Amino acid sequence: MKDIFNRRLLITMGKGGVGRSLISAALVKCALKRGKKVLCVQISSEDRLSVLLGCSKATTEVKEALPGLSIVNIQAAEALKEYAVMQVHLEFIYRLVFENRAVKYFTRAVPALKDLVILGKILFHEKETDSSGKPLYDIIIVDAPATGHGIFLLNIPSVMLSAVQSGPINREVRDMYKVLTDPTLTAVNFVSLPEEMPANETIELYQKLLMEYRIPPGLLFINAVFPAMFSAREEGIIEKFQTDNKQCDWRLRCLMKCAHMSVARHRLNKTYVEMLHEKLPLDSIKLPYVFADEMDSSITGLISDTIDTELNSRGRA
Amino acid sequence: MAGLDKAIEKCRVIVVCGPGGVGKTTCSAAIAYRLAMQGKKVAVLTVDPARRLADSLGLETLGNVPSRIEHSRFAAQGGELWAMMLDSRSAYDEMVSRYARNEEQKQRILNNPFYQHFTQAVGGSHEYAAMEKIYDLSCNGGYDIVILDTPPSLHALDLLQAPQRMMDVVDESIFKWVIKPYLAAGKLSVQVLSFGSAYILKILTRFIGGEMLSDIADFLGSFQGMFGDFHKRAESVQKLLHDPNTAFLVVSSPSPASMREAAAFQRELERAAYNFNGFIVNRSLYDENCLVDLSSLDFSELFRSAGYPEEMISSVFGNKLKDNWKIYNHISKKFKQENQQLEKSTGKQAALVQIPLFERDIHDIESLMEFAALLWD
Repeated sequence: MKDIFNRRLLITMGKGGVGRSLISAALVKCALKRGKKVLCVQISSEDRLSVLLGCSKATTEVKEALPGLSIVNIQAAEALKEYAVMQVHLEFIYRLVFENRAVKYFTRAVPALKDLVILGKILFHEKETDSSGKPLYDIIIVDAPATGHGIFLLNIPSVMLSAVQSGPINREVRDMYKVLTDPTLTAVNFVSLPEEMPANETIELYQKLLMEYRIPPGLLFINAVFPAMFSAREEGIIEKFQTDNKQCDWRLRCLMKCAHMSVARHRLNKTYVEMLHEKLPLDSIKLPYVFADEMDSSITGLISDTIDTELNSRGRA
Repeated sequence: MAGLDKAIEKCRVIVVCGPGGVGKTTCSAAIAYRLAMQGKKVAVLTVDPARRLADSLGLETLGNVPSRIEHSRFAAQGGELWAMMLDSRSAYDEMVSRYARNEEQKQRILNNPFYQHFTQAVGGSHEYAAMEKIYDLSCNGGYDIVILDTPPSLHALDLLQAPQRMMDVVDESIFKWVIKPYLAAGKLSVQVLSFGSAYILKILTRFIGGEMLSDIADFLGSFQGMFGDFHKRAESVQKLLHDPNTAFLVVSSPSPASMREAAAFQRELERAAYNFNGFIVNRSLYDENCLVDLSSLDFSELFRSAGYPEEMISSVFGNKLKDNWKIYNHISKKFKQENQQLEKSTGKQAALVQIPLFERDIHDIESLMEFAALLWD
């Protein structure tokens, strides 16, 4: 199995609602266990990661959240400002120019510009070093936006390279493209569910990222796989009960209906797990459906343990 | 709980909204089928459907124009079902064609490198295209009802105010300050400008590079003269969205967090004076029977009296059955709590519909009809 923890940049991608943040948080914990210095990046989304990591809220400033872990929530407007100040050197000039109403509209009118600075900021952190010249972070884990926006974000460098042939942006973008497409530095981890729509979307996403954008893939995480609650023999009895449909006590019927739902769900899940395995040439890790009302850091711990167990057992094999 | 029939009676536009992955497309398709079967002429506008669902709608060959879906069941009632998949890029191309002053302006916009990025970027442009299209279909399509399956959004206003935000972006004042001087002066002769404008331009050029700046300026500049029409159009779209015959339905998954998000969505809609016509809680595992405590039951006794042989039921199996039931018992209890909260905020006029989790994927007409029957229940 691929060792994704020797890369510098791990990007978590997937459809909305599949558990991208949970997997990102679990990967953060795995990296911390390996003694890595981690930067965890959220992108202008609601702050889900701090709850999952059990740390204080992520802000637009990088801050140390746990020993070895820094966390940041990159917002487009803030990132744009930082980048601009870096380019024009003085904040008062920034204010003079960029807080001009017309210029504000202008920069908003070119959405690519916002995504460009978000990506720029991530790759800036990748290059950051301490006073002795060592990288500030061993690994950067990015909880990317849901598929549509996520793809747009990662495709920005190639879009910009074709649109802008020279100048400061061209230089920056060339650099970004190099990092993003370097398999020794970067990996995209895919998160999917064993269900029809997320599975299909993951397959399309994989093809796009790898074939069109040449961004190296990492692992596939199949999240929320419903467990097998019963043996094959027991499943047979549950099915027979359902088809017999005999007169019986309502409580027994209720109990067996619950059993039937679990069996059906498990089977449907299995179909899509198989489909994902068949269509995607990726090392994959199945993660169990978590029976919990609210997600918190204890669940992240559970998921990261599962990932580690899988990685260790298959690493040996 | 009230079904959908009353809540969307007389409606001419139905907007189906909610976060990603909750089943908006399935709901939209099911509502469309059902209304067509009632003899209505229906158009459903969908964004990014799963392929198999698209197949069941006959959508695989569709683009930016509605195609008719034939089915004997609509024909018998005199109903019609039309469906289309929104393609933002073509929607924008259409708009540019409609408002361009002349062929030259049209071509200049369509060929600008930034036009393409602008039309595929997120952050308002898909939403704007969807709103624009729904207005077009509703006013010019000759349909009784138009249904919009919206792009995923967590916040109602992100979606509905997209037209307004787009207006801000192409505000006339950009011209006065940036575009006009730039186009007039050209990138090498900023010196001829007033001191303020020249300075701003110089910094901007340093920031994004002269070539890109001139491309962007040219792109925005080519829209010149189209703004008045855009503004009028955006106002008409808002008027349609606030019309008493426009219905908003919010789809949610059955998890407590998702149901709370749905309630927040409703509050946002109502605060901004849009109609709210109901919640659809999809893929629910709630079962009233599961609320009763079954943990101390003697199952082997019940199995025997149902006529099953005793050896079929080992104590291991019995315990597994109980453990499994506990999952649904817990889910049902939690769901009931959240649902009571949702009921309170729903009010008397709006619908609150619960759709159970189907054991199979919904991607053929039969399962869609079954789904719709539950919506109308």
